[in-house]
Amino acid sequence: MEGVHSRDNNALRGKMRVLERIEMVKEKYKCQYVPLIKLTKLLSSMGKDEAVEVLIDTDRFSLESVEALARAYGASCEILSSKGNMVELLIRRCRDDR
Amino acid sequence: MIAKIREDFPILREIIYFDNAATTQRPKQVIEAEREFYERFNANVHRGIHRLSREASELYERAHETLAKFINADFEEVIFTSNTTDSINIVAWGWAVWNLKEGDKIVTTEMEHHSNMLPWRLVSKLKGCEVAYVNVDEYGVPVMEDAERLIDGRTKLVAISGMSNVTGAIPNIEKFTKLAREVGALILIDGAQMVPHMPVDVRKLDCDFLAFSGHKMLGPTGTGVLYGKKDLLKEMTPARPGGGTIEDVTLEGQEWAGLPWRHEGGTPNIAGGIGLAAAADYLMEVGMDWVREHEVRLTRKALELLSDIDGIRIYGPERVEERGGIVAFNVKEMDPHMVGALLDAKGIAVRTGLHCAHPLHRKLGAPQGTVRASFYLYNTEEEIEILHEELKEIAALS
Repeated sequence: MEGVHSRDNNALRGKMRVLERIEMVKEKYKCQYVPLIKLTKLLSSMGKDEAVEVLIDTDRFSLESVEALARAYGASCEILSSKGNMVELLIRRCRDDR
Repeated sequence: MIAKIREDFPILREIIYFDNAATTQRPKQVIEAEREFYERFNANVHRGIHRLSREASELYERAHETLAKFINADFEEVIFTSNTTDSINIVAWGWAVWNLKEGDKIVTTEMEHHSNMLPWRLVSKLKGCEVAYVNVDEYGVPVMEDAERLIDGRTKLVAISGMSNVTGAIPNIEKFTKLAREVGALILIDGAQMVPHMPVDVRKLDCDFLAFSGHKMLGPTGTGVLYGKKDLLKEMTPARPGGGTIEDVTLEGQEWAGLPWRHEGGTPNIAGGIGLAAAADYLMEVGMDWVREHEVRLTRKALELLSDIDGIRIYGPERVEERGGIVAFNVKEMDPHMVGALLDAKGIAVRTGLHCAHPLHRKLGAPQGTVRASFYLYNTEEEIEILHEELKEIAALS
């Protein structure tokens, strides 16, 4: 998928300060308002060398839509892991223009 | 006209605001009215002998007169409340709970905001009554044949929204009123989405109660109005008995104050009420006919442009004349909150979710909710074009 990259996970995590892990999955939230609000809040305040880990259920959210949201806030997505429809992403700021 | 209006709303320089069905922005005139009250006239009303209290009381009473003029009611028929929910609850706990008996029926519809469902449900449970819901069709419009079937001799109240807060559908209020009158039932209109967006004349509507919010018509939050026919308000038991609602109290009883004060218990939102009057003045100066025509133009444009996007589903009546300035939609199978978050990132504010109308969303086949763009007098066709462009990009995401 364009814009979402797969990298060496541990090396990637080690370089960043992970602010929070958000699980955008049905089991955790019936309504996706809460995790999305959390994510957009973090995206709008995230600084250089900071990141957010996101677990998404691709049956509910496409990778493309999450990537588009990250991109809108000047952030990029990296796939950390993928199992079935569950994908773990690292979202980090790719430019420091806050 | 529109450029002049927008000058009064500085906040609109920074955002495309399409969340007007939730709350509107305030013009400088409303903000100034509240500020002036606090700076020059702040005192409690109807209780003080001093000059400030007299002036505050006069301003607050004048605010009632302005709102009465706005809906063509009498001064005594306008009760200031906190919002539409509060207004409806005053009728539920001031009229319904005292007048309904076991076996009676309240008829409402599937399209209602929870505010026009839950009070009736609770009162009915307490009194052993029934709440019946008129079905809506695939466009979210109440089916009149179902209304004719349900509104019968047992019906004591018909409670219906003047405009859906989800689809913008405008039901046939005239017909509902006629059906209610035929069986001797009262009619309450939830005017939260209607009053701010079209000319409303309570004499022409011939409704018994009309509830609406101030903050959805350019006024401050925490303000609303309950209109009621004078005779009904006189008979109705105060749902907020206490300070300001009485002429005299003894240990044996009480003599209620005149209208509308007997239904405004406690120190009211005085500055809010004055701000609300400034909002009503603003709208009357612009002209409610113009507001309606402008929103029809915007809605027509939105329906035309958005329906052209592949994978978008728009809810509500197809004919723009049958709806208000609200366009609810979904983009493919995308979660509506994600669509809202993506639009927000582009500086466009819309509402997402179930909009306090869960049963209607289930009926429309959108249990996950909808994205709702709602317009007001300060929105422009250019803003709708931008919404269209952004939605095209979002729809292109899989």
